[in-house]
Amino acid sequence: MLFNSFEFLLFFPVVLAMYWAFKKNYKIQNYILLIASYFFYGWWDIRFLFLIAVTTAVDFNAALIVQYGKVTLNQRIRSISFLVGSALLFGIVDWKDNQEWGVVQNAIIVATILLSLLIYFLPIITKFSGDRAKAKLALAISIVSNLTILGFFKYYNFFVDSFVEASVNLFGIQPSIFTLSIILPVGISFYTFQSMSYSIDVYRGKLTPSKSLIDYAAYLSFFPQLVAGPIERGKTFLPQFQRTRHVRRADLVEGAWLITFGLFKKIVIADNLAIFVNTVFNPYDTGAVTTMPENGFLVLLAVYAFAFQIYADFSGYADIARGTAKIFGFRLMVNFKLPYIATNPSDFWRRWHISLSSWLKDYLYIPLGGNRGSTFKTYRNLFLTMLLGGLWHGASITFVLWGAYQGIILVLYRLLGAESAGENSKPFMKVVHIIWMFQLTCLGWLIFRAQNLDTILLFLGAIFSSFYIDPEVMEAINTLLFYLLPVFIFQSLQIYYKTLNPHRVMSNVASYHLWFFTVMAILSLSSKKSSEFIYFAF
Amino acid sequence: MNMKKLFKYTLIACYTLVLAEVFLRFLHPIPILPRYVSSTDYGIRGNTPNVSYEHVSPEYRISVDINAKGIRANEDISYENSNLNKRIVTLGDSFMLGYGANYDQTFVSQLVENMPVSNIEIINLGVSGHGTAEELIALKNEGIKYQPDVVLLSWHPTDYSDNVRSNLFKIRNNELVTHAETFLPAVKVREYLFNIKLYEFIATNSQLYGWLREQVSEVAKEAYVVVNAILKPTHSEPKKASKTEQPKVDKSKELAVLLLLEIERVVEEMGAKLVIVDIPRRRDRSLFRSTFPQDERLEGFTVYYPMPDFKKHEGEMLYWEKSDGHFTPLGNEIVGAGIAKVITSNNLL
Repeated sequence: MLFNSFEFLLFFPVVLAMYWAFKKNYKIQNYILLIASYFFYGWWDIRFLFLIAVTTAVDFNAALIVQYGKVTLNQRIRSISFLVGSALLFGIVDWKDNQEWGVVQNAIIVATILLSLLIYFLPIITKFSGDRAKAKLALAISIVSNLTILGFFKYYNFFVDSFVEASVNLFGIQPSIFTLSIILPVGISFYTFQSMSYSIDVYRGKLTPSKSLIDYAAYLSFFPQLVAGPIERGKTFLPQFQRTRHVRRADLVEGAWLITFGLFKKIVIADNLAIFVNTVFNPYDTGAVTTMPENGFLVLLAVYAFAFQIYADFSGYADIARGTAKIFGFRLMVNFKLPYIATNPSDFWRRWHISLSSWLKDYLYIPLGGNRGSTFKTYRNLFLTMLLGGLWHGASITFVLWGAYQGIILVLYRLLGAESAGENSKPFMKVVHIIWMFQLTCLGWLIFRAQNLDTILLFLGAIFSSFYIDPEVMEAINTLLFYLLPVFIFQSLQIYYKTLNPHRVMSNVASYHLWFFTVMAILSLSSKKSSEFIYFAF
Repeated sequence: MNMKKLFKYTLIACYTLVLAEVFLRFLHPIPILPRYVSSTDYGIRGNTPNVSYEHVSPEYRISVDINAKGIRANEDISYENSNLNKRIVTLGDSFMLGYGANYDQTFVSQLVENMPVSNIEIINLGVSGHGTAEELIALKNEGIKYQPDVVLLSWHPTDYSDNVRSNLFKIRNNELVTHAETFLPAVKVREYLFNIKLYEFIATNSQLYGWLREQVSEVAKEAYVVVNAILKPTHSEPKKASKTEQPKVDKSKELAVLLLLEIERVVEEMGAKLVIVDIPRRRDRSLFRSTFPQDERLEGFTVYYPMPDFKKHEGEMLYWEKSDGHFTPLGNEIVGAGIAKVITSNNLL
């Protein structure tokens, strides 16, 4: 279900009314949230709910073993019932009359039986190990199961294709490995990362695991952030499911504002910019055009437009998620902090998709050694972290390249001793650093947006060879200015008032005008070509 | 609520309306396209006689003059053809009326320009919103009085649903029968409201009004489609039957075919010739689609399909894109020349 859909307009008040009806009983509210979240996700494709159920059941039990060395019979039976119930509802019943469903049904039946046995016998298997060994084994099961699900659904075909291509190119041998027609489950990268961080945090002693399966299941599937984050941490987010939530009037206003502003960013800014971006990129995406674009200026503008499209799209989603959560009494982390005023790559990653970059730092960069070893090792760790961060976005060579590019510029800035360049500079130099960093970011976005290497090379060739102003360029500049002006104005307000939520500190009159402009823009300037959020694909 | 609060909220509401008007004018100019339609003696909508008005959009500003008989013309035209001109009566909707173009740019004017003879007189009976059913009634009650040599009828994609919605004709025992005597949707309300000077001023000058009307109309149309899809699935444009499916009789298509056959009969009876112009549905600047009913009973009809001529101008703007989707002067020019060619090559005049 999309936030900007008619279905959500019906879904949201119904769930909210039910939720508020039990405001004194957070346990019932958790049940409501769990059902609502599964309904929200299942609206897209009910079959993949089984995967969330598997992740929930495995990580819930694994974390308990890690912490307590055991899982009570009651907890195990609940987990198995949850798993079997999910398999029956989402796996055995063929809701869509799918012709190839039989194979999937068999796989689900086998997986359910094996996982049920594993959950039931896990405490017995680990009974004779020491506490630490038990914890390690349980953590390994959690990580392996998450990575297996992620690897199979997201990367199987990519790695098979890459292996076959390499084998043919290097040895002239065509291996007989077949690819599968696998659908990428929406949000799989987000919830598997969130679930993995939970088990790891319990293992590291930073978090006490949930003893209630329902609390954990509601935590993992919380619909506002299920499909595109932020990737929340158990330490701050799980306790919110374990206590009564209080929603104040200010939370409602704040939530409503975040939802409204998020919608504005998505359907006014992102979707309108997407029309221009797609006119430039699509002919190359589909392979309809394979020659260098005539005017590099137009290409450059399209890349700039994409920079703001992806920002408005993703941060718009994050705002709607935060706003929706707020109305339900939850606090989600801030995922974006004015990323395009970053002065260097490290600064950029402290501002862009913060929940992912901090996840990569805590669960990849630091375990790899962080900056504790030699200089070379620090660079290697940085590069590997960003490379895997790129791969996290999708199974494509362009995402790998994008990750490598991010790693290279981080390393280069460090090599030059400029890792905090511009942060303490005087205003003029700071602006110079910001503009330069934006160009570097946009080069990254070109790699990110292009569907193949040829497009990247052709576009770069055009940018550096033919550059002229024509009516098409003027129209593109007009479009860009028209849609970017409100973004600049709002970000200027954020900088001026030194808060991400300037409407809170503005006068009533100024706040009224901000609301008026945003609502009016949504009503009259929304793109007629609505599209899914970009990060749903990751 | 005390008076002070009431005053305060009224003031805020008024200020918001003014602000919305300013917002739209600067950031999202809305076409102001007032429709001057009123009831005729024969029970359907006609152009309000003796009015002159402007249509203003971000793309154009045009004026429309309607004469005493409700015809878009700069002068009155008598029923008697005393000058022995060749007469073409035109029937259709806003495309035929020439919305989006000044009088001399409309395709009917361009048609005259492109004809090899000079004594041609156009009697444009096009009315915004008309479907084939109303066009038949307009022909029988008004068009016939002008003793035309040619009747030019425009076919528009919405005619399928318009014909059904008007309820003027039905099919009984495979024959066309009159069902309702009148079809005047919201005309009385419109006539009443336009008598109020303030309302007329707002309707002809306010972008906010135009925008709100557009929103309400879109919602109403969507609701109509949804309701009809549930109740009577055949009211929209006919769908192609799949290969495995037995073709079903589509009532809206059948009604359109019978109405067209009836128009042809009336035209023949008055000794004139019928020409039809098919207004294509536009997807983008290079993609157009015909919706004229494909039926063997209509095979002998003289129909001008502009798609091949439009294809020669691929990428050019033939329909207004930020306004109401009518023809641009270039679109009108192509269609006018195309119809003239069809009339000339078939020796219809």
